[in-house]
This record gives sequence, structure tokens and C-alpha cells, in this order.
Amino acid sequence: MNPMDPMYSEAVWARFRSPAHAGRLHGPQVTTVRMQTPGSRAVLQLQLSVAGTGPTAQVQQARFLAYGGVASIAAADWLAEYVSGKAVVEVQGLAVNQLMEALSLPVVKRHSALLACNALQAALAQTTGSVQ
Amino acid sequence: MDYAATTPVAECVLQAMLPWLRDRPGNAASLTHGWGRQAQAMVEASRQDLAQLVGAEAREIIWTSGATEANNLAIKGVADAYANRGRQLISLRTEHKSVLDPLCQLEQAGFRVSWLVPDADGRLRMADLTAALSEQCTLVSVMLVNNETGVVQDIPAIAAAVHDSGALLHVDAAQALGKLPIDVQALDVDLMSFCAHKLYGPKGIGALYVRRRPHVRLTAQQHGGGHERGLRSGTLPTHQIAGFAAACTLAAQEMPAEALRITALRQRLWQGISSLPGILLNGHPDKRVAGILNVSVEGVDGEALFAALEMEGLGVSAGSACTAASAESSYVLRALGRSDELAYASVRFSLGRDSSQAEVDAAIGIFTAGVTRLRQLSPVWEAGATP
Repeated sequence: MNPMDPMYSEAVWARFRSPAHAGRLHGPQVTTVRMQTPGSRAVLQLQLSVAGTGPTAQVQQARFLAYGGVASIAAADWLAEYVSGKAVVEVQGLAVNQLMEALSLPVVKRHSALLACNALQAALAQTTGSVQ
Repeated sequence: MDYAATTPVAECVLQAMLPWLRDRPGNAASLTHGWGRQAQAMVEASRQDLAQLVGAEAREIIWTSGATEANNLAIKGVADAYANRGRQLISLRTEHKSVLDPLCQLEQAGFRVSWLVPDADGRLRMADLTAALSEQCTLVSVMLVNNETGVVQDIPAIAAAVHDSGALLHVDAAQALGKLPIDVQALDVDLMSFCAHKLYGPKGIGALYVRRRPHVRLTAQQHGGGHERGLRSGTLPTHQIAGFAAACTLAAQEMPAEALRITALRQRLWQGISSLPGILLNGHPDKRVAGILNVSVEGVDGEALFAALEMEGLGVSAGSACTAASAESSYVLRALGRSDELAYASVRFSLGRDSSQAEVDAAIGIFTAGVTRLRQLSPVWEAGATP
């Protein structure tokens, strides 16, 4: 048996194989966004459960569903883990390169990291003003 | 489960090759000594073995480096030899790249190529062919078994229409040799391409059948030495030819029983995986070779699907020719009307002589689990966007 495609790091394969943050959230504090990138077929649904407002707002949990390739699923799982338990002000500055470096994603898969970051920004924007 | 890509060299084939690599070093064109004559005798006996498997005469077989070269020689060779008669060529959009690319090159050189689109089952529409044929047409090229879908074309009917118009018929039989009976006389073809590595022979050896009665003219595409009656120069690879012949003998012995056994395995595989919703069969349900099953999978991404299958030890082929940088879906499946997404999320299973019921059952389990897991992850499948 040949090894898996060396284009991806072990971290990517581990998240693709067992994405711990895949799934759905329910409840009044849950924000849901669904995003797509024009350059790929991937579709990402990101859900955030945010408590508090202003500087004290905090992402309690994050979950995702993804239709896409290996990198899209791994990036979404990393993002959901990264934001969970963190202050909104801390995660809203997440850069695409930070995600790419964390997973050692190849440049040709930048769109996967971009999709995840765009979904986060959209979810945070939707959350603003709606969280008590 | 990727026997359509290539097959492992059979033990009897390997044993037939080894003497020609060890202690029989003769050049088949060196007839001034015994080693050369020994090589020539084997080459001619091997030519007879292949000819017998396809109902041809030995002198109608030209050795090549594979089916790609045979396709190039047939298409460019006929186009050039008959250019004074006409400059139209006809083929199907679903042909192998080694047919499409030479035709595209001829198109750039001023030939007119009529590209036919098959029906949704992958079969050539006879009305389209007869409408496209003109007095200017010199060659029609249609494969016997499609390499992605396994669909078998109605070659005798195609040959009748082509010959009625005065054109020649070339058939790429790379995926057919050793898988189903071939009789070039009954099929009424003028040229036919073969290779050894799809039937448990070595890579790097193929052949072109060139009809002698009525005589098919061909312009050589490789020069230097005048081997193969001047049609294909180059020192013959004796060990590979010996291996090709052994593979032909093996195929003749095993084909009838193997075709039945492998058909049953393919049907078992299809019944197993099609218990999932959204699994679409690609290609005609009946007019197909025994060992190839091609399906499109709704609601999952192609790259993720192949990764999930490979992770569990299931090696299958994409219906697509995809690379990391540019994910191009299968042009064959798109020609059959599949969407880009479905063509991308398509799997070609291909079974062979080492395939077993246990292996098929394991593949069904891996496929079912992988598709189910990815669909559970998918917001698209959840939403029923591709129901």
C-alpha cells in the first residue's frame, strides 16, 4: 500500500480522518453561515455559539459541515477548534496564512483556508449586535 | 481494484520473458547468426500467437511500444497516406487521449475532424455517424471498450456504415484484448490497436493490426532501419514480445471462464454499492466489458472520496484525470451528460484475475462507509442540493 498523498501533512490527514468538530449546534445563541468560494466546489457551513457582547463576547463552541476536498474539511476542523473558547476579539483577526501554516497546507489549497476564514468573518459579523 | 489502468505481470508471462533477458541476447534483425535467427523465430511465433487471438494473419501484426504508439501510427499513418483522397476524419469525444491528441494535431495541420458525442449510455449514435460521413472522410476511429466506463461499441454496425462511405475504420482495442473475444474479420475493421499490459503482460509493448485484404496503406511515423516491413523502425524488444505472446496464450485459455466470473463479481459489487442512494451507473447497463464498473456519487467531493477510500486500503481510479493544481473532471463522463461535480466524484472500479468475492465484499464495505461518512459531513447532501 502506498502512503497517502504527500501533498498533505499528517495534521491534515488526521483532521480529515477524524474531524472532532464536525456536526451541528442548536439553540438561540447559535449563528449559522454557509459559504462557497467561486474558485472551488467547496461549501462550508460554520456554526458559532457566542455568549456575551462587546469586548467580553466569547465563542463557546463551533461546529462545521463541509462539502469539499481533504484540505477544506481539515481547515474547517482546525478553525472550529481554534475559535472554541476564545474571545471574539481574539479570533476575529485570524489570518489565512496562520491557518495555512498551522496545517502546512500547500499554496494550491489556499482557497480552502480562505473559505474557512471568510466563513468565520461572516459568522462574527452576523453575531455582532445579536448576542445578549 | 484498478486493473483497467494496468495489470500485474502473470508468473507464466514473467517466465516466458526471462530467457530473452538472460541468455538469448540476439537481435531479431541479425540473421547472420544463430542468436539473431533464434530471436527472429520467437518474434514471428509470437506474432502468430497475437494474430490467432484476434483472428488475423501474422503478417498483419506490427509491433509497437504500446497502444498509444499504435493509435498514433494508425491515425497519422492513414491520414497521411490517403490525404490526396480526402482530409476528413471522424471520432468520438470519449476516445482515449492517444486517439484525441493525434487527431487534434492533424486538425491543426489542416485536416477536418468531426467529433461525435455519444448518447447518455456512452454508445455512438449511428445516425450521427452516417450524417457525418462524407466522400472526403478517410478514417473513423472508435474504441471497442471505453477505458473509463467499460462501454462496448457496436463495431460491426459502425464498420458497415464506414465502409459504405469508402472510409477506413480504426479501433482502439487496448481495453478489449483478453477481456472479450475479438475477431477482426467478423468485426470488419481495418486497423486495430493493442497493448500487453492490460492482460497481464509487460508494459512497453503493443501492436497494430493492419488489414492486408483489402490492403490498407499506412505512412510510417518512425524511421530508421525499416523494421516491421518499413512501418515501424526500431530494434524489437524480444523479452517484451515473448511476454506479450505468453499473455495472449494465457488470455485464450482463461478468457471464457474469467469473463463469466468477473461479470458476476462486478454485478455483486454494483448491487452492494447501489444500496446507497445517489449512486449513478455510468455507461450502458449491458453493453459493457466484464471488469469495469464506473459510478458517480452524489453529495460528496471527488478528492475527499478518493482519499477516504485510499485511507481504508481501497485503490480505485478516478473517472477523472485530476491533479492537485487543476481538478479537471472526466471529459468522458461529461460527454455522457454528467455535471462537472458528478464527473469529478466518479469512481472506476476495475476487476481482474486476482479479484475475489471477499475483495469485492470488502470494497463494498469501505465504499459504503466512506460515502456515508462524507455525506454526514456535507451540508450539500443534508440540504438535498444533489438529491
